Amino acid sequence: MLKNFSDSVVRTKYTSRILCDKYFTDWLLASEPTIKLSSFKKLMFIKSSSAEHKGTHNIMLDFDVKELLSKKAMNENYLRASFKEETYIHDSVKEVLPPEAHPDDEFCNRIFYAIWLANKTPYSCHIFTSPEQKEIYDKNQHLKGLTSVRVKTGAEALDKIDEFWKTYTLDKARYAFQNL
Amino acid sequence: MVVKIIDIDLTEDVQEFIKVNADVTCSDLLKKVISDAPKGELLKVSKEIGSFTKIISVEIVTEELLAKELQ
Repeated sequence: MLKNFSDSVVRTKYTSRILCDKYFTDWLLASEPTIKLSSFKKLMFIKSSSAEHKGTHNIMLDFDVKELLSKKAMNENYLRASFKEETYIHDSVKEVLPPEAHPDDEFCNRIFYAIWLANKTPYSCHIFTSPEQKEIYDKNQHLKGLTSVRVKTGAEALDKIDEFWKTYTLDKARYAFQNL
Repeated sequence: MVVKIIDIDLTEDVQEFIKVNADVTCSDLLKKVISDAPKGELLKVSKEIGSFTKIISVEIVTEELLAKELQ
């Protein structure tokens, strides 16, 4: 991974964007407290420290945010600190697909948005979901053969968060050493 | 009308925010809390947004705070 050190803040170039759905968030909220807390904290750091997409590295689509907030699944401040809410019907997504091709399906909407995210640096996006939704994503024809968008479920997604976290902490240590 | 918002961001970004944005008001005490906060930590910053942005409280996002508020 490439590194970028600004004057005073450690910024990291991560190898992919993150698009998280409500199912992954529910799964993480139901996980062991230590895993839950450390994973949300790592997601907040990743979102804040991204060199290329600071504040918008981790995305959650508006309909997922709305549902999580309506059922009071978690504190809104921390949900928004972990993920940037984006509206699916976005002019930029229409660049990828014509309006008439937009299906009324939440899984397709996430996949299309992830494809659009992968049209920008770092040209890769991981969709985080729960293990229960894996089959639905796997069967989706729009994901067939794609390499720039990949689905990570449950523990696989946690491994990806840990990988990004290690990159960030390594950058941070290197920065501290260089500024001794 | 004043809107209260909460932002969670890296210490260095909050320090830059109060340094660069001239429309931010903040007590000397909170300025010191922000400038003394450990780098590389997350800060929970409560703000009031009217015509100016007023910082009304700052907390380091510790494991304890996260455990309490993420319930």
